[in-house]
Amino acid sequence: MNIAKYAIPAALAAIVGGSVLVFSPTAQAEQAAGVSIIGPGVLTRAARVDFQIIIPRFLRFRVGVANLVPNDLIEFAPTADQIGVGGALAGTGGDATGGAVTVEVRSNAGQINIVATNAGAAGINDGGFNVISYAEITTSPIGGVIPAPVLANAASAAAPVTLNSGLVTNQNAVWTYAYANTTIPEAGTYGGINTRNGRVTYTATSAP
Amino acid sequence: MHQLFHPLIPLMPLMPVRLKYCSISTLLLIVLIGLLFTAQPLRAEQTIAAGAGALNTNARLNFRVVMPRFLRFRVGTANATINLISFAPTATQVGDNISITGAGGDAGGSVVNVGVWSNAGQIIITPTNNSAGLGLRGIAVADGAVNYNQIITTPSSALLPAPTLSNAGGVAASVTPSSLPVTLRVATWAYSFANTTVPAASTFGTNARGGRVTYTASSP
Repeated sequence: MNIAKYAIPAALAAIVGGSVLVFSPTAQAEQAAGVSIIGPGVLTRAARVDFQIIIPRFLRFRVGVANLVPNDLIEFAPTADQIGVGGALAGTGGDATGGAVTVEVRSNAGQINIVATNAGAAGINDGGFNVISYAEITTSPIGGVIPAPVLANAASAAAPVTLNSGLVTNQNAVWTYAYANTTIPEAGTYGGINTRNGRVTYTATSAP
Repeated sequence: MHQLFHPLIPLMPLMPVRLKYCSISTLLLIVLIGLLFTAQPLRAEQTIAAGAGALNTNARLNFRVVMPRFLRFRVGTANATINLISFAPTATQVGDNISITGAGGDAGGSVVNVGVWSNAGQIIITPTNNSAGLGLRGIAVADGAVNYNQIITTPSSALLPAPTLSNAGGVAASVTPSSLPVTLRVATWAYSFANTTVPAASTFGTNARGGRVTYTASSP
């Protein structure tokens, strides 16, 4: 056997194999190298692949339209016949339409709690001194796998999301908003897209 | 080595020749500027947090309530129904100066429910009637008429006073606001027939003979 005849290809194979190892850190394929793989008769070599999946600790939270689109606006526009006569009024807007939004919580970081906050101690204002309390905006369901925080001026109480198992949460829900309509506010436009304290920020928090 | 581990190696076949040989810092600057011009405003409702310790992330939502300027007013049944308040004194009662109650009100007897809802400022209620100043006429001209001052209105609340009726219409009444410009007042008005005169035997009033009173609530 002319060893020199095979030495150069074998060396090249070793170099290529080494390159694979350098550029594929997460899928390490084994390629056997050396003179023993050549010759007459049955040849057997094993080549193995190792896999690795790295899952980060994370918390993903959605209320309304998924990311990279403008925020949802939930609007209530009672007619003159409806104002203050009681009976909740449905709204418009929301990615689930009719004043409803899609809510998702995905996490592997343990118990998740959701708190709703807004900037106003008095509620939604009309740009002047008139306000509508956030208590006039109701959210359903109060219970469920992702219970909706009960809106209040400033901040709500925490609403715990139901864990699926262990530290994992993978829950979907739809929150529907309504205007309670128990008062007679002055005419005006209260709140809006990040104006007149119409913005509510929901914060999902995991266990430490 | 600089190029061997260049982060944009996979993109190099697609890049202009000059870019292939510029420095890593220059390329990163180009990529960063590109992202700044193409990224949408960070107004996401879906956000992600990762790492150790307590994780928290926000999703925002906007609310708007559009409240029109309005005035809602009710006297009697809360729909298009026009109540008929009827007084029918007996023969022994006619003209005895003792007022009598009637029938036909939505609150029982000759009592009607009244409500004023508004956010439009001070509300005034003004009565008019279709009698052309003659009062409630009888079936025949010879029957004459019953003066509107024979119909007395007693409110259940001074905050929602009842106008005093007269053949010419009556005296307007001011509703006490809840907190200007908002008014939310409900009450009942009880009608009675003063019964201080002796009219001819007949049926007086109804819409056909000057018996309809129209109350008009007005804001500034």
